[in-house]
Amino acid sequence: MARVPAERDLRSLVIGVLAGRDAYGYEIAAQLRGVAEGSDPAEGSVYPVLRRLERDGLASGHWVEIGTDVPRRRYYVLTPKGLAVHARREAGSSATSTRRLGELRP
Amino acid sequence: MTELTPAERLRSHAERILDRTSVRERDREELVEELYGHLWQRWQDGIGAGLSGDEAADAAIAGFGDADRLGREMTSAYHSRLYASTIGVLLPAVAGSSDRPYGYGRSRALVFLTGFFTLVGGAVVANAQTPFRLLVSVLALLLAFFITVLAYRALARRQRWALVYVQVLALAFVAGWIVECVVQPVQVSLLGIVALVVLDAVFRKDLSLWVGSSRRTGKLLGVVIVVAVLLPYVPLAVGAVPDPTQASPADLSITVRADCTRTGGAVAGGTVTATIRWARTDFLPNGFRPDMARTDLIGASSASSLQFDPGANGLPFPRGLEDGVVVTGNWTMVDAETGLPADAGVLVFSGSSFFDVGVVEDAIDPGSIQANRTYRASLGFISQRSTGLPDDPIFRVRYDHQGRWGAEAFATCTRSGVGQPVTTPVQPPSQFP
Repeated sequence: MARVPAERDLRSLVIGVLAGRDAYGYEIAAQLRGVAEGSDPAEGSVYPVLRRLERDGLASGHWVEIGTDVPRRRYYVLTPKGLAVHARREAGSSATSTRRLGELRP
Repeated sequence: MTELTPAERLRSHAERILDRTSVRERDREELVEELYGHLWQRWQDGIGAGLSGDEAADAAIAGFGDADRLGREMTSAYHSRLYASTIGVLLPAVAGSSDRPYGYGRSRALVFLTGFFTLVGGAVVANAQTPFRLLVSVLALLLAFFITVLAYRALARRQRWALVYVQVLALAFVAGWIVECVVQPVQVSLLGIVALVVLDAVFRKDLSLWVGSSRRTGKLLGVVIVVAVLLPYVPLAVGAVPDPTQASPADLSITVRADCTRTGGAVAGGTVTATIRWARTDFLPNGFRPDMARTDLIGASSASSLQFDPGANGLPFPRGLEDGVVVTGNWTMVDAETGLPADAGVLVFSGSSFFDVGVVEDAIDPGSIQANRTYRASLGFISQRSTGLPDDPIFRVRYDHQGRWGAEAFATCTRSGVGQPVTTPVQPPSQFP
Protein backbone atom coordinates (compact mmCIF):
# COMPACT_ATOMS: atom_id res chain seq x y z
CA MET A 1 0.00 0.00 0.00
CA ALA A 2 1.29 3.42 -0.90
CA ARG A 3 2.46 5.58 1.98
CA VAL A 4 0.67 8.87 2.58
CA PRO A 5 3.20 11.50 3.65
CA ALA A 6 2.72 13.04 7.07
CA GLU A 7 1.50 16.62 7.21
CA ARG A 8 4.95 17.87 8.21
CA ASP A 9 6.58 15.98 5.28
CA LEU A 10 4.07 17.43 2.87
CA ARG A 11 4.68 20.92 4.25
CA SER A 12 8.42 20.51 3.72
CA LEU A 13 7.87 19.22 0.23
CA VAL A 14 5.58 22.13 -0.67
CA ILE A 15 8.11 24.63 0.73
CA GLY A 16 10.77 22.87 -1.29
CA VAL A 17 8.76 23.27 -4.50
CA LEU A 18 8.02 26.93 -3.80
CA ALA A 19 11.67 27.60 -3.02
CA GLY A 20 12.42 26.81 -6.65
CA ARG A 21 9.83 29.12 -8.12
CA ASP A 22 6.36 30.54 -7.71
CA ALA A 23 3.70 27.92 -8.37
CA TYR A 24 -0.03 27.29 -8.14
CA GLY A 25 -1.75 24.36 -6.48
CA TYR A 26 -2.12 22.10 -9.49
CA GLU A 27 1.51 22.64 -10.44
CA ILE A 28 2.69 21.86 -6.92
CA ALA A 29 0.60 18.71 -6.76
CA ALA A 30 1.97 17.59 -10.13
CA GLN A 31 5.54 18.09 -8.94
CA LEU A 32 4.85 16.22 -5.71
CA ARG A 33 3.63 13.24 -7.72
CA GLY A 34 7.14 12.92 -9.06
CA VAL A 35 9.04 13.90 -5.90
CA ALA A 36 7.10 11.95 -3.29
CA GLU A 37 7.86 8.59 -4.86
CA GLY A 38 6.30 5.67 -3.04
CA SER A 39 3.77 7.90 -1.32
CA ASP A 40 0.26 8.68 -2.42
CA PRO A 41 -0.82 12.15 -1.33
CA ALA A 42 -4.29 13.19 -2.47
CA GLU A 43 -3.87 16.18 -4.75
CA GLY A 44 -6.27 18.21 -2.67
CA SER A 45 -4.04 17.86 0.38
CA VAL A 46 -1.71 20.58 -0.87
CA TYR A 47 -4.38 23.25 -0.36
CA PRO A 48 -4.70 22.96 3.43
CA VAL A 49 -0.89 23.03 3.54
CA LEU A 50 -0.74 26.15 1.35
CA ARG A 51 -3.36 27.88 3.50
CA ARG A 52 -1.41 27.00 6.62
CA LEU A 53 1.78 28.39 5.11
CA GLU A 54 -0.10 31.61 4.40
CA ARG A 55 -1.50 31.70 7.91
CA ASP A 56 1.99 31.24 9.38
CA GLY A 57 3.42 33.93 7.12
CA LEU A 58 5.70 31.56 5.22
CA ALA A 59 4.01 32.05 1.87
CA SER A 60 1.65 34.48 0.22
CA GLY A 61 -0.82 33.91 -2.58
CA HIS A 62 -2.09 36.07 -5.40
CA TRP A 63 -4.56 35.48 -8.22
CA VAL A 64 -3.47 35.44 -11.85
CA GLU A 65 -5.91 35.70 -14.74
CA ILE A 66 -5.16 33.13 -17.45
CA GLY A 67 -7.82 33.52 -20.11
CA THR A 68 -11.49 34.01 -20.72
CA ASP A 69 -12.54 30.34 -20.53
CA VAL A 70 -9.90 29.21 -18.09
CA PRO A 71 -10.30 29.54 -14.29
CA ARG A 72 -7.82 31.97 -12.80
CA ARG A 73 -4.97 30.53 -10.73
CA ARG A 74 -3.74 31.37 -7.29
CA TYR A 75 0.04 31.46 -7.33
CA TYR A 76 2.06 31.09 -4.15
CA VAL A 77 5.43 32.56 -3.36
CA LEU A 78 7.59 32.03 -0.28
CA THR A 79 7.98 35.07 1.94
CA PRO A 80 11.43 35.96 3.38
CA LYS A 81 10.35 34.08 6.50
CA GLY A 82 9.47 31.07 4.37
CA LEU A 83 12.76 31.23 2.53
CA ALA A 84 14.59 31.36 5.86
CA VAL A 85 12.74 28.29 7.08
CA HIS A 86 13.64 26.51 3.86
CA ALA A 87 17.28 27.52 4.15
CA ARG A 88 17.45 26.28 7.74
CA ARG A 89 15.95 22.94 6.73
CA GLU A 90 18.30 22.56 3.84
CA ALA A 91 21.27 23.30 6.06
CA GLY A 92 20.03 20.87 8.69
CA SER A 93 19.43 18.23 6.08
CA SER A 94 22.89 18.76 4.61
CA ALA A 95 24.53 18.56 8.03
CA THR A 96 22.67 15.38 8.82
CA SER A 97 23.73 13.86 5.53
CA THR A 98 27.34 14.83 6.13
CA ARG A 99 27.25 13.37 9.64
CA ARG A 100 25.75 10.10 8.38
CA LEU A 101 28.33 9.89 5.63
CA GLY A 102 31.06 10.40 8.24
CA GLU A 103 29.65 7.58 10.33
CA LEU A 104 29.69 5.27 7.34
CA ARG A 105 33.34 5.94 6.55
CA PRO A 106 35.84 3.42 8.02
CA MET B 1 -32.98 12.57 -13.31
CA THR B 2 -31.16 15.70 -14.44
CA GLU B 3 -27.65 14.89 -15.65
CA LEU B 4 -24.88 17.25 -14.65
CA THR B 5 -22.17 18.40 -16.98
CA PRO B 6 -18.64 17.37 -15.98
CA ALA B 7 -17.84 20.99 -15.09
CA GLU B 8 -20.87 21.13 -12.79
CA ARG B 9 -19.75 17.95 -11.10
CA LEU B 10 -16.29 19.38 -10.52
CA ARG B 11 -17.67 22.55 -8.95
CA SER B 12 -20.03 20.47 -6.86
CA HIS B 13 -17.10 18.45 -5.51
CA ALA B 14 -15.23 21.62 -4.59
CA GLU B 15 -18.29 22.93 -2.77
CA ARG B 16 -18.77 19.62 -1.05
CA ILE B 17 -15.29 19.86 0.47
CA LEU B 18 -15.98 23.36 1.68
CA ASP B 19 -19.30 22.24 3.17
CA ARG B 20 -17.22 20.25 5.59
CA THR B 21 -14.99 23.20 6.36
CA SER B 22 -15.63 25.87 8.90
CA VAL B 23 -14.32 29.05 7.20
CA ARG B 24 -15.54 32.57 6.53
CA GLU B 25 -17.75 33.08 3.50
CA ARG B 26 -15.15 35.15 1.68
CA ASP B 27 -12.48 32.51 2.20
CA ARG B 28 -14.95 29.89 1.13
CA GLU B 29 -15.63 31.54 -2.22
CA GLU B 30 -11.94 31.86 -2.98
CA LEU B 31 -11.25 28.29 -1.94
CA VAL B 32 -14.05 26.95 -4.09
CA GLU B 33 -12.63 28.84 -7.04
CA GLU B 34 -9.12 27.59 -6.37
CA LEU B 35 -10.13 23.97 -5.89
CA TYR B 36 -12.41 24.09 -8.91
CA GLY B 37 -9.51 25.50 -10.98
CA HIS B 38 -7.39 22.53 -9.96
CA LEU B 39 -10.10 20.02 -10.81
CA TRP B 40 -10.80 21.78 -14.08
CA GLN B 41 -7.18 21.59 -15.19
CA ARG B 42 -6.93 17.95 -14.20
CA TRP B 43 -10.09 17.32 -16.18
CA GLN B 44 -8.62 19.05 -19.23
CA ASP B 45 -5.44 16.98 -18.92
CA GLY B 46 -7.57 13.82 -18.76
CA ILE B 47 -9.39 14.76 -21.94
CA GLY B 48 -6.05 15.54 -23.54
CA ALA B 49 -4.92 12.04 -22.57
CA GLY B 50 -7.87 10.53 -24.46
CA LEU B 51 -10.48 10.13 -21.72
CA SER B 52 -14.11 11.07 -22.28
CA GLY B 53 -15.47 14.12 -20.48
CA ASP B 54 -17.14 12.04 -17.78
CA GLU B 55 -14.19 9.71 -17.35
CA ALA B 56 -11.84 12.64 -17.01
CA ALA B 57 -14.15 14.22 -14.41
CA ASP B 58 -14.27 10.94 -12.47
CA ALA B 59 -10.47 10.75 -12.52
CA ALA B 60 -10.10 14.37 -11.42
CA ILE B 61 -12.50 13.91 -8.49
CA ALA B 62 -10.95 10.60 -7.45
CA GLY B 63 -7.42 11.98 -7.59
CA PHE B 64 -8.32 15.07 -5.61
CA GLY B 65 -9.13 13.13 -2.48
CA ASP B 66 -11.92 12.35 -0.05
CA ALA B 67 -14.14 15.35 0.65
CA ASP B 68 -14.53 14.57 4.35
CA ARG B 69 -10.81 14.31 4.99
CA LEU B 70 -9.94 17.39 2.94
CA GLY B 71 -12.68 19.34 4.73
CA ARG B 72 -11.18 18.46 8.10
CA GLU B 73 -7.67 19.31 6.93
CA MET B 74 -8.89 22.64 5.59
CA THR B 75 -10.61 23.48 8.87
CA SER B 76 -7.43 22.77 10.81
CA ALA B 77 -5.52 25.03 8.40
CA TYR B 78 -7.69 27.97 9.44
CA HIS B 79 -8.14 27.27 13.12
CA SER B 80 -6.34 25.95 16.16
CA ARG B 81 -6.16 22.20 16.67
CA LEU B 82 -8.63 22.41 19.55
CA TYR B 83 -11.14 24.36 17.47
CA ALA B 84 -10.68 22.09 14.46
CA SER B 85 -11.26 18.96 16.52
CA THR B 86 -14.36 20.27 18.34
CA ILE B 87 -16.37 23.22 17.06
CA GLY B 88 -14.86 22.92 13.60
CA VAL B 89 -16.29 19.44 13.31
CA LEU B 90 -19.67 20.31 14.75
CA LEU B 91 -20.33 23.55 12.93
CA PRO B 92 -20.42 22.19 9.38
CA ALA B 93 -22.72 19.43 10.60
CA VAL B 94 -25.34 21.67 12.19
CA ALA B 95 -24.94 24.94 10.31
CA GLY B 96 -24.99 25.87 6.69
CA SER B 97 -28.68 25.31 6.17
CA SER B 98 -28.68 28.37 3.97
CA ASP B 99 -26.37 26.49 1.64
CA ARG B 100 -28.77 23.58 1.34
CA PRO B 101 -30.44 23.38 -2.03
CA TYR B 102 -34.13 23.74 -2.69
CA GLY B 103 -35.96 20.58 -1.67
CA TYR B 104 -33.28 19.27 0.66
CA GLY B 105 -35.35 19.62 3.83
CA ARG B 106 -38.48 18.16 2.24
CA SER B 107 -36.54 15.21 0.90
CA ARG B 108 -35.11 14.41 4.30
CA ALA B 109 -38.55 14.83 5.88
CA LEU B 110 -39.95 12.23 3.50
CA VAL B 111 -37.16 9.80 4.33
CA PHE B 112 -37.68 10.45 8.04
CA LEU B 113 -41.43 9.81 7.82
CA THR B 114 -40.84 6.68 5.79
CA GLY B 115 -38.53 5.34 8.47
CA PHE B 116 -40.99 6.26 11.21
CA PHE B 117 -43.95 4.60 9.54
CA THR B 118 -41.85 1.57 8.71
CA LEU B 119 -41.23 1.07 12.41
CA VAL B 120 -44.87 1.70 13.35
CA GLY B 121 -46.01 -0.72 10.64
CA GLY B 122 -43.57 -3.30 11.95
CA ALA B 123 -44.98 -3.02 15.46
CA VAL B 124 -48.53 -3.55 14.19
CA VAL B 125 -47.61 -6.48 11.98
CA ALA B 126 -45.74 -8.19 14.79
CA ASN B 127 -49.04 -8.70 16.59
CA ALA B 128 -50.74 -10.69 13.95
CA GLN B 129 -48.41 -12.80 11.88
CA THR B 130 -47.54 -16.45 11.81
CA PRO B 131 -43.96 -17.13 12.90
CA PHE B 132 -42.26 -17.49 9.52
CA ARG B 133 -44.16 -14.60 7.98
CA LEU B 134 -43.41 -12.51 11.02
CA LEU B 135 -39.72 -13.30 10.67
CA VAL B 136 -39.74 -12.34 6.99
CA SER B 137 -41.77 -9.20 7.71
CA VAL B 138 -39.57 -8.04 10.56
CA LEU B 139 -36.38 -8.64 8.59
CA ALA B 140 -37.79 -6.73 5.63
CA LEU B 141 -38.95 -3.85 7.81
CA LEU B 142 -35.68 -3.65 9.70
CA LEU B 143 -33.78 -3.61 6.44
CA ALA B 144 -36.12 -0.95 5.09
CA PHE B 145 -35.66 1.14 8.23
CA PHE B 146 -31.89 0.73 8.07
CA ILE B 147 -31.93 1.96 4.48
CA THR B 148 -33.97 5.03 5.44
CA VAL B 149 -31.38 5.84 8.12
CA LEU B 150 -28.58 5.44 5.58
CA ALA B 151 -30.42 7.55 3.02
CA TYR B 152 -31.16 10.27 5.58
CA ARG B 153 -27.47 10.54 6.39
CA ALA B 154 -26.33 10.06 2.81
CA LEU B 155 -28.45 12.96 1.63
CA ALA B 156 -26.62 15.23 4.04
CA ARG B 157 -23.37 13.83 2.67
CA ARG B 158 -24.46 14.66 -0.84
CA GLN B 159 -24.53 11.11 -2.09
CA ARG B 160 -26.38 10.64 -5.32
CA TRP B 161 -27.96 7.28 -4.48
CA ALA B 162 -29.86 8.94 -1.64
CA LEU B 163 -31.41 11.43 -4.04
CA VAL B 164 -32.41 8.59 -6.39
CA TYR B 165 -33.91 6.80 -3.39
CA VAL B 166 -35.98 9.88 -2.49
CA GLN B 167 -37.10 10.25 -6.11
CA VAL B 168 -38.28 6.63 -6.30
CA LEU B 169 -39.85 6.94 -2.85
CA ALA B 170 -41.79 10.06 -3.80
CA LEU B 171 -42.96 8.54 -7.07
CA ALA B 172 -44.04 5.33 -5.34
CA PHE B 173 -46.00 7.13 -2.61
CA VAL B 174 -47.73 9.47 -5.02
CA ALA B 175 -48.59 6.59 -7.37
CA GLY B 176 -49.84 4.51 -4.45
CA TRP B 177 -51.96 7.39 -3.22
CA ILE B 178 -53.50 7.87 -6.64
CA VAL B 179 -54.34 4.15 -6.87
CA GLU B 180 -55.88 4.28 -3.38
CA CYS B 181 -58.03 7.23 -4.35
CA VAL B 182 -59.16 5.47 -7.53
CA VAL B 183 -60.17 2.18 -5.93
CA GLN B 184 -61.62 3.69 -2.76
CA PRO B 185 -63.18 6.99 -1.77
CA VAL B 186 -60.57 9.76 -1.67
CA GLN B 187 -58.12 9.06 1.10
CA VAL B 188 -55.98 11.50 3.03
CA SER B 189 -52.45 10.16 3.16
CA LEU B 190 -49.77 12.01 5.12
CA LEU B 191 -47.00 10.27 3.22
CA GLY B 192 -48.80 10.92 -0.05
CA ILE B 193 -49.07 14.64 0.66
CA VAL B 194 -45.43 14.93 1.72
CA ALA B 195 -44.39 12.90 -1.32
CA LEU B 196 -46.37 15.21 -3.57
CA VAL B 197 -44.61 18.23 -2.12
CA VAL B 198 -41.23 16.50 -2.42
CA LEU B 199 -41.89 15.44 -5.97
CA ASP B 200 -41.86 19.08 -6.97
CA ALA B 201 -38.32 19.49 -5.72
CA VAL B 202 -36.45 16.24 -6.27
CA PHE B 203 -36.39 16.42 -10.05
CA ARG B 204 -35.07 19.98 -10.18
CA LYS B 205 -31.46 20.70 -10.94
CA ASP B 206 -30.73 22.12 -7.47
CA LEU B 207 -30.56 18.74 -5.78
CA SER B 208 -28.81 17.16 -8.76
CA LEU B 209 -26.08 19.76 -8.44
CA TRP B 210 -25.97 19.13 -4.73
CA VAL B 211 -25.01 15.48 -5.23
CA GLY B 212 -23.23 16.07 -8.52
CA SER B 213 -19.75 15.07 -7.45
CA SER B 214 -20.69 11.73 -5.97
CA ARG B 215 -20.54 8.47 -7.81
CA ARG B 216 -23.16 7.71 -10.42
CA THR B 217 -25.93 5.26 -9.70
CA GLY B 218 -25.54 2.16 -11.82
CA LYS B 219 -28.30 -0.16 -12.93
CA LEU B 220 -27.65 -2.62 -10.14
CA LEU B 221 -27.85 0.07 -7.47
CA GLY B 222 -30.99 1.36 -9.16
CA VAL B 223 -32.61 -2.06 -8.79
CA VAL B 224 -31.50 -2.21 -5.15
CA ILE B 225 -33.09 1.19 -4.53
CA VAL B 226 -36.40 0.11 -6.06
CA VAL B 227 -36.36 -3.05 -3.92
CA ALA B 228 -35.58 -0.92 -0.86
CA VAL B 229 -38.62 1.25 -1.55
CA LEU B 230 -40.81 -1.85 -1.85
CA LEU B 231 -39.50 -3.53 1.31
CA PRO B 232 -42.06 -1.96 3.70
CA TYR B 233 -44.80 -3.61 1.66
CA VAL B 234 -43.46 -7.12 2.28
CA PRO B 235 -45.76 -7.72 5.30
CA LEU B 236 -48.75 -7.08 3.08
CA ALA B 237 -47.57 -9.57 0.48
CA VAL B 238 -46.12 -12.20 2.77
CA GLY B 239 -49.59 -13.64 3.39
CA ALA B 240 -49.35 -15.25 -0.01
CA VAL B 241 -46.17 -17.06 0.99
CA PRO B 242 -46.67 -20.54 2.46
CA ASP B 243 -45.51 -20.66 6.05
CA PRO B 244 -43.66 -23.95 6.65
CA THR B 245 -44.30 -23.63 10.38
CA GLN B 246 -48.06 -23.79 9.91
CA ALA B 247 -50.43 -26.62 9.09
CA SER B 248 -51.75 -26.73 5.54
CA PRO B 249 -54.81 -28.34 3.93
CA ALA B 250 -52.64 -31.37 3.20
CA ASP B 251 -52.26 -31.90 6.95
CA LEU B 252 -56.00 -32.09 7.57
CA SER B 253 -58.16 -35.12 7.06
CA ILE B 254 -61.90 -34.56 7.38
CA THR B 255 -64.70 -36.99 6.57
CA VAL B 256 -68.43 -36.52 6.97
CA ARG B 257 -71.07 -39.19 7.38
CA ALA B 258 -74.85 -38.92 7.63
CA ASP B 259 -76.82 -41.68 9.42
CA CYS B 260 -80.44 -41.19 8.44
CA THR B 261 -83.71 -42.51 9.84
CA ARG B 262 -86.61 -42.97 7.47
CA THR B 263 -90.36 -42.96 7.78
CA GLY B 264 -92.23 -44.48 4.90
CA GLY B 265 -89.15 -44.16 2.73
CA ALA B 266 -88.65 -40.46 3.40
CA VAL B 267 -85.81 -39.15 5.54
CA ALA B 268 -87.27 -38.05 8.86
CA GLY B 269 -84.05 -37.27 10.73
CA GLY B 270 -80.63 -38.54 11.61
CA THR B 271 -77.16 -37.62 12.72
CA VAL B 272 -74.33 -35.95 10.83
CA THR B 273 -70.86 -36.75 12.10
CA ALA B 274 -67.58 -35.11 11.08
CA THR B 275 -64.33 -36.89 11.85
CA ILE B 276 -61.24 -34.72 11.81
CA ARG B 277 -57.55 -35.43 12.23
CA TRP B 278 -54.50 -33.21 11.84
CA ALA B 279 -51.21 -34.78 10.80
CA ARG B 280 -49.49 -31.58 11.90
CA THR B 281 -50.64 -28.53 13.79
CA ASP B 282 -49.49 -24.94 13.76
CA PHE B 283 -46.27 -23.94 15.41
CA LEU B 284 -47.22 -21.19 17.88
CA PRO B 285 -50.91 -21.47 16.88
CA ASN B 286 -51.83 -18.33 18.77
CA GLY B 287 -48.91 -16.33 17.48
CA PHE B 288 -46.38 -14.53 19.62
CA ARG B 289 -49.24 -12.73 21.24
CA PRO B 290 -52.74 -14.19 21.81
CA ASP B 291 -54.05 -11.54 19.45
CA MET B 292 -53.30 -13.70 16.46
CA ALA B 293 -55.86 -16.32 17.41
CA ARG B 294 -58.58 -13.75 16.96
CA THR B 295 -57.10 -11.35 14.46
CA ASP B 296 -55.34 -11.96 11.23
CA LEU B 297 -54.31 -8.95 9.22
CA ILE B 298 -54.00 -10.94 6.06
CA GLY B 299 -57.13 -13.04 6.26
CA ALA B 300 -60.63 -11.92 6.96
CA SER B 301 -61.57 -14.51 9.53
CA SER B 302 -61.18 -14.06 13.26
CA ALA B 303 -60.81 -17.67 14.32
CA SER B 304 -60.82 -21.27 13.24
CA SER B 305 -64.25 -22.78 13.04
CA LEU B 306 -66.11 -25.94 12.19
CA GLN B 307 -69.40 -25.30 10.49
CA PHE B 308 -72.38 -27.56 9.97
CA ASP B 309 -74.49 -26.34 7.12
CA PRO B 310 -77.58 -28.41 6.38
CA GLY B 311 -78.90 -26.13 3.80
CA ALA B 312 -78.65 -22.53 4.78
CA ASN B 313 -78.22 -19.96 2.04
CA GLY B 314 -80.29 -22.12 -0.30
CA LEU B 315 -77.59 -24.75 -0.62
CA PRO B 316 -77.32 -27.63 -0.72
CA PHE B 317 -80.88 -28.49 0.36
CA PRO B 318 -83.51 -27.83 -2.24
CA ARG B 319 -84.83 -24.34 -1.73
CA GLY B 320 -87.86 -24.20 0.52
CA LEU B 321 -87.08 -27.31 2.54
CA GLU B 322 -84.37 -25.96 4.81
CA ASP B 323 -86.77 -24.15 7.13
CA GLY B 324 -88.39 -27.41 7.97
CA VAL B 325 -85.30 -28.88 9.60
CA VAL B 326 -84.39 -28.52 13.24
CA VAL B 327 -80.97 -29.40 14.59
CA THR B 328 -80.52 -31.09 17.95
CA GLY B 329 -77.54 -31.56 20.23
CA ASN B 330 -74.23 -29.73 20.35
CA TRP B 331 -72.01 -29.28 17.38
CA THR B 332 -68.87 -29.34 19.47
CA MET B 333 -65.60 -30.89 18.45
CA VAL B 334 -64.54 -33.50 21.01
CA ASP B 335 -61.56 -35.80 21.32
CA ALA B 336 -62.73 -39.15 19.91
CA GLU B 337 -60.86 -41.12 22.60
CA THR B 338 -61.54 -39.08 25.71
CA GLY B 339 -64.81 -37.44 24.74
CA LEU B 340 -63.49 -34.16 26.12
CA PRO B 341 -64.17 -30.97 24.22
CA ALA B 342 -61.13 -30.04 22.19
CA ASP B 343 -62.03 -26.44 21.78
CA ALA B 344 -63.42 -23.46 23.52
CA GLY B 345 -66.86 -25.03 23.44
CA VAL B 346 -68.43 -22.02 21.87
CA LEU B 347 -71.51 -22.91 19.88
CA VAL B 348 -72.69 -20.32 17.46
CA PHE B 349 -75.99 -20.52 15.66
CA SER B 350 -76.55 -18.28 12.76
CA GLY B 351 -79.92 -18.64 11.22
CA SER B 352 -83.27 -16.98 11.01
CA SER B 353 -84.08 -18.09 14.57
CA PHE B 354 -82.49 -20.17 17.29
CA PHE B 355 -84.09 -23.47 16.50
CA ASP B 356 -84.45 -22.97 12.83
CA VAL B 357 -81.68 -24.50 10.91
CA GLY B 358 -78.82 -22.35 9.77
CA VAL B 359 -75.09 -22.51 9.86
CA VAL B 360 -74.02 -24.09 13.13
CA GLU B 361 -70.53 -22.97 13.86
CA ASP B 362 -68.14 -24.08 16.53
CA ALA B 363 -65.24 -21.72 17.17
CA ILE B 364 -62.09 -23.68 17.78
CA ASP B 365 -59.14 -22.57 19.79
CA PRO B 366 -56.26 -23.54 17.50
CA GLY B 367 -54.01 -24.04 20.51
CA SER B 368 -56.18 -26.90 21.77
CA ILE B 369 -55.70 -29.09 18.69
CA GLN B 370 -53.10 -31.82 18.89
CA ALA B 371 -51.54 -33.63 15.97
CA ASN B 372 -52.35 -37.27 15.29
CA ARG B 373 -55.46 -37.35 17.46
CA THR B 374 -58.94 -37.88 16.12
CA TYR B 375 -61.72 -35.43 16.84
CA ARG B 376 -65.42 -35.71 16.20
CA ALA B 377 -68.38 -33.41 16.04
CA SER B 378 -71.95 -34.58 15.51
CA LEU B 379 -75.37 -33.03 15.32
CA GLY B 380 -78.82 -34.49 15.05
CA PHE B 381 -81.45 -33.22 12.68
CA ILE B 382 -85.21 -33.72 12.48
CA SER B 383 -87.51 -32.87 9.65
CA GLN B 384 -90.70 -31.15 10.75
CA ARG B 385 -92.35 -31.68 7.44
CA SER B 386 -94.86 -34.47 7.21
CA THR B 387 -93.38 -35.44 3.89
CA GLY B 388 -89.88 -35.62 5.33
CA LEU B 389 -86.75 -34.69 3.42
CA PRO B 390 -85.79 -35.78 -0.07
CA ASP B 391 -84.38 -39.26 -0.40
CA ASP B 392 -80.80 -38.13 -0.27
CA PRO B 393 -80.39 -34.66 1.27
CA ILE B 394 -76.91 -33.14 1.14
CA PHE B 395 -75.08 -32.00 4.23
CA ARG B 396 -72.06 -29.80 4.21
CA VAL B 397 -69.33 -29.43 6.84
CA ARG B 398 -66.74 -26.71 6.48
CA TYR B 399 -63.59 -25.99 8.34
CA ASP B 400 -62.05 -22.52 8.27
CA HIS B 401 -58.48 -22.18 9.47
CA GLN B 402 -58.30 -18.59 10.69
CA GLY B 403 -59.23 -17.30 7.31
CA ARG B 404 -56.02 -18.64 5.76
CA TRP B 405 -57.37 -21.83 4.26
CA GLY B 406 -60.24 -24.23 4.63
CA ALA B 407 -61.65 -27.63 3.82
CA GLU B 408 -65.13 -28.67 2.86
CA ALA B 409 -66.83 -32.06 2.86
CA PHE B 410 -70.24 -33.19 1.67
CA ALA B 411 -72.23 -36.25 2.67
CA THR B 412 -75.59 -37.73 1.91
CA CYS B 413 -77.56 -40.46 3.64
CA THR B 414 -76.02 -42.95 1.28
CA ARG B 415 -72.55 -41.57 0.74
CA SER B 416 -69.79 -40.27 3.04
CA GLY B 417 -67.72 -37.32 2.01
CA VAL B 418 -64.01 -36.51 2.22
CA GLY B 419 -62.80 -32.97 2.77
CA GLN B 420 -61.29 -31.02 -0.06
CA PRO B 421 -59.23 -27.83 0.29
CA VAL B 422 -61.06 -24.62 -0.41
CA THR B 423 -60.04 -21.03 -0.47
CA THR B 424 -61.19 -18.87 2.38
CA PRO B 425 -63.46 -17.33 3.28
CA VAL B 426 -65.44 -20.39 2.29
CA GLN B 427 -67.99 -19.71 -0.40
CA PRO B 428 -71.13 -21.79 -1.05
CA PRO B 429 -70.47 -24.23 -3.87
CA SER B 430 -72.27 -23.80 -7.12
CA GLN B 431 -73.03 -27.47 -7.36
CA PHE B 432 -72.66 -30.71 -5.50
CA PRO B 433 -69.24 -32.19 -6.25
